[in-house]
Amino acid sequence: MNSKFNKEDLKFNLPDYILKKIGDSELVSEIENELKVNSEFKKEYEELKRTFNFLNAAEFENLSESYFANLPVKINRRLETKDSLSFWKKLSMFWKILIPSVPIILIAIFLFNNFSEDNIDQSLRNKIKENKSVESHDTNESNPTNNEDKNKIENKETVNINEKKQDSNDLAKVNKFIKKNNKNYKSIRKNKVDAITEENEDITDLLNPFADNLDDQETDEDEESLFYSTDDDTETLENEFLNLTPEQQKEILDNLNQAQI
Amino acid sequence: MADINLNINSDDNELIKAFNDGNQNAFNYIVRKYQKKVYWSIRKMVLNHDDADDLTQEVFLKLYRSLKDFRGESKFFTYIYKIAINYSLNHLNKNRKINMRKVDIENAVLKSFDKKADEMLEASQRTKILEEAIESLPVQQRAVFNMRYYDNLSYEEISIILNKSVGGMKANYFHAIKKIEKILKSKNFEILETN
Repeated sequence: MNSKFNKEDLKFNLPDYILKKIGDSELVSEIENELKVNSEFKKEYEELKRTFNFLNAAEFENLSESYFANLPVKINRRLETKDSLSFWKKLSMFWKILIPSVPIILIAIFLFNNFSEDNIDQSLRNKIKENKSVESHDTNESNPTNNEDKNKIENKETVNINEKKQDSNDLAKVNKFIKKNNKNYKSIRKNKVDAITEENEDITDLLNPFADNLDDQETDEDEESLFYSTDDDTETLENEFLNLTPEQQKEILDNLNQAQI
Repeated sequence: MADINLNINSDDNELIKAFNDGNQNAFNYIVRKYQKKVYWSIRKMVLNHDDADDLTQEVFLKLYRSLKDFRGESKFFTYIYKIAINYSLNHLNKNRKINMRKVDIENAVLKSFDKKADEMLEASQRTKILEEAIESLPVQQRAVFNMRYYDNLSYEEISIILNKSVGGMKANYFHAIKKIEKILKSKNFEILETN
């Protein structure tokens, strides 16, 4: 006889059968038949029944009615408290979200700053490149023969450098000649000064035979100072030489070379 | 709004409608109507009075805020029960307060002054074993056992509340009772033989 309930279905419905909670009559008869023929099923039934006997006898502690009389009051009180805290609760929720997100925001700002600086640097580099390319482009447009002009400029610069070198060499030469031949220059100058002085004395004697010659009061030392060049004189000569035109400077140098002074 | 016709025995839909219309007293009637059921449902789950008291208040607070969203697709008590069970399950998953149970057993002995001393002792022992047995159940089995045995909910209602299959709920119930039986055997407790 085929049954629509399997043994597991019958087993799981035993508790309800014991407590008489099964409404399906067919199921009830199936269980009763199984109890008659199956000893293990019957043993299962007996053990479940004993358990339910215990459960029926066991109780949880009773509570006094005053607890339930006060419970609605406690609930209303809690309702009022919760409503007043809702604002603060919302604020705390806000902080619960904000505080953990602060490090993330800071990291994002940091990364953004670094990234943006890189961008700036990159943009600057690009601009520099563009400017260079524009300059070179302009240079190309104004000077079709770029290489020739470069050579001219380089040559001009070389000439300027060489000229400067020549000037400094000449100046050194002049100083060298002056210092080296200072003595000879002194003697030549003295001879010339003496010649001029004699001429002046003759003229003075002619003009004023009885006047004192105030020049006599000058010391020999002073006279000598007129004849001999000093370091100050050297510097003055240098300045004078430098103030001359290049052509004049060249003429003097040629003369000095020829005189071999 | 006049609440002359409203009382604790009023129809659930009437109470809900009155509350949604602004009658705060209607909510008080709802609380008084279901507070014991809610409390004991929670109490049998958490097995501790203080926790049950706190959770019962939270359940009714939740109900207060969500009552306007109740569409009447299920029984009103099933709706409340679902909230109560969810709060209990969440509580059990967070906390496991075994020691608190011992305090309640001592209080039960002191309060049971109508019984003789030996009966009181046996009653306290029985309560202790009962709570120990229920506490030994996995959370879902505990919920199914309490709803079926103590609250007499149908398997269909239990399956809706827990969002599980009907067949699964039957199996859970059977295994819960078998587990309680095992605890009783381990305690060598003399089970009363009654017809």
